[in-house]
Amino acid sequence: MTSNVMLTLAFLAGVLAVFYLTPKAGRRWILLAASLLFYLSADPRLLLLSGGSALWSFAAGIGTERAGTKKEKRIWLAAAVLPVLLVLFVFKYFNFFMDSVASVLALAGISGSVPSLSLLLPLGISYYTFKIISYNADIFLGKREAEKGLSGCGAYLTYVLFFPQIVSGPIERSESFLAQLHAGPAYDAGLFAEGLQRIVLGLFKKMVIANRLSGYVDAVFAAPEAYPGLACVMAAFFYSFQLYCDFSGYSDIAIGMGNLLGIRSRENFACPYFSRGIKEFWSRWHISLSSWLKDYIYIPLGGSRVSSFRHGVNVLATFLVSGLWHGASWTYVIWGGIHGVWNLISRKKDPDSSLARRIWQTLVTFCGVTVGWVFFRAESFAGALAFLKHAVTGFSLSYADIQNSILPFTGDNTCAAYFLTACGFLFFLFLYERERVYGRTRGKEGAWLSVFWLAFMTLSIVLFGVFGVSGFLYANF
Amino acid sequence: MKRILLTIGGALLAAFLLVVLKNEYARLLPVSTYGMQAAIERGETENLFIGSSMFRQGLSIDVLEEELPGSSYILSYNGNQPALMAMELAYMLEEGLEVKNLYIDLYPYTAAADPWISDTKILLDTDLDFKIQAWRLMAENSGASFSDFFEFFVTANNEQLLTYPINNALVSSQFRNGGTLLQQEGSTREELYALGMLGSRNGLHEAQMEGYGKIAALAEEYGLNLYFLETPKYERMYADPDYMELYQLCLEEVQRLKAEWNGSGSFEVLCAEDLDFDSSDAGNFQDLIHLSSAGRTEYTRLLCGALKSRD
Repeated sequence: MTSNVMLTLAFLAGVLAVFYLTPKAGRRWILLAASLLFYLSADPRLLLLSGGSALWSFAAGIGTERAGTKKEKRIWLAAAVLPVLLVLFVFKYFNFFMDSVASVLALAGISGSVPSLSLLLPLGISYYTFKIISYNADIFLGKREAEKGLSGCGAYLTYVLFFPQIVSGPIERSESFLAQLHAGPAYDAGLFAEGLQRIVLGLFKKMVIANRLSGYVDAVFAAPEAYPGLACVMAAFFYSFQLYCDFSGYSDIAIGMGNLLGIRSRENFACPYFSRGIKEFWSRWHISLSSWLKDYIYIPLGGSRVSSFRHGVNVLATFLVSGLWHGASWTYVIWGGIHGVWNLISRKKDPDSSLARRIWQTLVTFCGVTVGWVFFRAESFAGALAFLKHAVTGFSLSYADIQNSILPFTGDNTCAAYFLTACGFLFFLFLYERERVYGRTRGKEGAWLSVFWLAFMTLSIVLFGVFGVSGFLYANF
Repeated sequence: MKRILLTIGGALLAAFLLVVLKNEYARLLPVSTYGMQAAIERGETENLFIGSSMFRQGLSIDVLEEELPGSSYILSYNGNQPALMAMELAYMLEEGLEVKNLYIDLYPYTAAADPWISDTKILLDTDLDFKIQAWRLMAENSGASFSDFFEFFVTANNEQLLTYPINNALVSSQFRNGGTLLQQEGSTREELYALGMLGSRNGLHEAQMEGYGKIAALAEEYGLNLYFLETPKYERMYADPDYMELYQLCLEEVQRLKAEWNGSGSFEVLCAEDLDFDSSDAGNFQDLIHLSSAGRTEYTRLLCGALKSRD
């Protein structure tokens, strides 16, 4: 169920029917039941783990609030956070840690086997762990009150395990979510319509663009040396679009599903590839994670109100954690490091730059981010370097290389059609996002334009959706 | 809210209409240089070759046009199966294509496969009736699912149609009268021995055998000369007991059809072993079953010679 968006939407349809037939006061219990059922369908044993983590942190949150002294509060916070971090470590990072230890020992001339665990990664563990931490940290910092009683416990469990967000986020903050839940989610025609549009937009990004590009990207990244350098360059850029459409597509679907259930969520993406610098990029990409890292790692470390050296350490530490959050592999850590260093050396952009300069800055940022994604996508650091090297040294624009770079789309003489179609849809996405960011079409014209986009996307999903590819890339994290 | 629902509903209705139009009328787009519509557009062809990629890679249109009397056309689709070939032949004959000599690809693996449209270009070349018949054939014999149905009728060929002016020009430049104009290099013995074999099958499929029978019946009905041709495979294939078992079964089937033949034209079976083709020369092959450009030219010359001597 978790890996198939269509089944998730079918599940949502059932939930919606029950949800709106239930009186307003009881609807949040329907959300909890649906979330538990959703998780249960993934693996009942994992529900015990995630549910247990949520219940424990719920109780610890009350302890934090009731603690008399700062020291006691700290102990309660540690009691809430450390167990969930330990679970995260065991399930996600243990093997990586042991492999790294083995590598270091091997460098020192000590060889031997290290223990490893064969565990199924609990659904959404990286997402719900961060939700639990932020909730308890907010109580510790006095930013919010702890949830209490059966009703509070149910609301908190719903917040942690909310089924539209469990697979790939967004990492919603407790304040806004729980407030809406306590108020009782109500039918709001405007919000419902917004939700439908967001789901269509998300399906368009995922089915029509991301899934379409995935075959090409997978083929070239699997054996870059078998293709011309041009194919590697194309695969790197296509991966940038695939990742964006896949992840922001899921966010759109998740936000849309929440809207249908009367819940408003914060935005997770704001046209990140239009950024003119890396700082701006991180204010537009995976906003719920980057703001989480800022609030719960960067600022507690001292943020920018420290010495410049310490500030550099804080920035790097934040990005390394970001890399590690994405996966237990050195490629993610290196990706985080690249972004951290880039962030440190980049300057604030002049808002009054000329149009040409703004376009140039946008292109440079996009190309830099794309190079970073190669490390994110590659199986190993050496693999990423080999990929980039081949992209440069094997690059040519000869007719044969152009032909062989398009061929991986389908492997036969339909590849040009698939390539042109993919480029066409990327262009339409560019127009759509440009209109969202810079558009000035308002009033009646604006309404007609939104009707056009909705009709176009619905039509494209039916006629050009690639349904064979299941799962979302960010569900792996 | 009402506007949103109306828009989504309207888009779904438009999608449905486009799907119906596509399935019935896409074939009427300007024809390419290969496929059924291009053959029908010609109106007549002396020599019609119907087969899979064995024919596309195995027959040189240049040599055929040079050596055989009259015009020639190669109709090849990837993985084209006997059951589908029979439907394609019937479709083209009903559409008015006049043929004198009919050459059918005798490739055992396609005769052993579950009936399936393995090349969606077939769907682009035919009307809705043909597709419904093909779907029934697939559904009855292969347990096709809803997602297959959706792909078959809704999503197949949409990319080609969306980019038709460019894509058709690009792909058409690679063919003339159905024959490929692309040059394919030969392999080395080491390369061909490093390739994996194509595996075993559970005998020939009944529906494919019926396909051979329907082809013979159509050839009888329209008074055609019928030839079954086996294009050369690399020597490793002939040493493979699985392949040889299927090959013998296929031969037995067409020999049985030949024994029952009541047509006014001739019925011939021409296998690679009947020709003086060197199946051990790796340079003649791209892979274990497809000929290189050199192998294609050589085989087609030998084939034409044999056909002329039989006439």
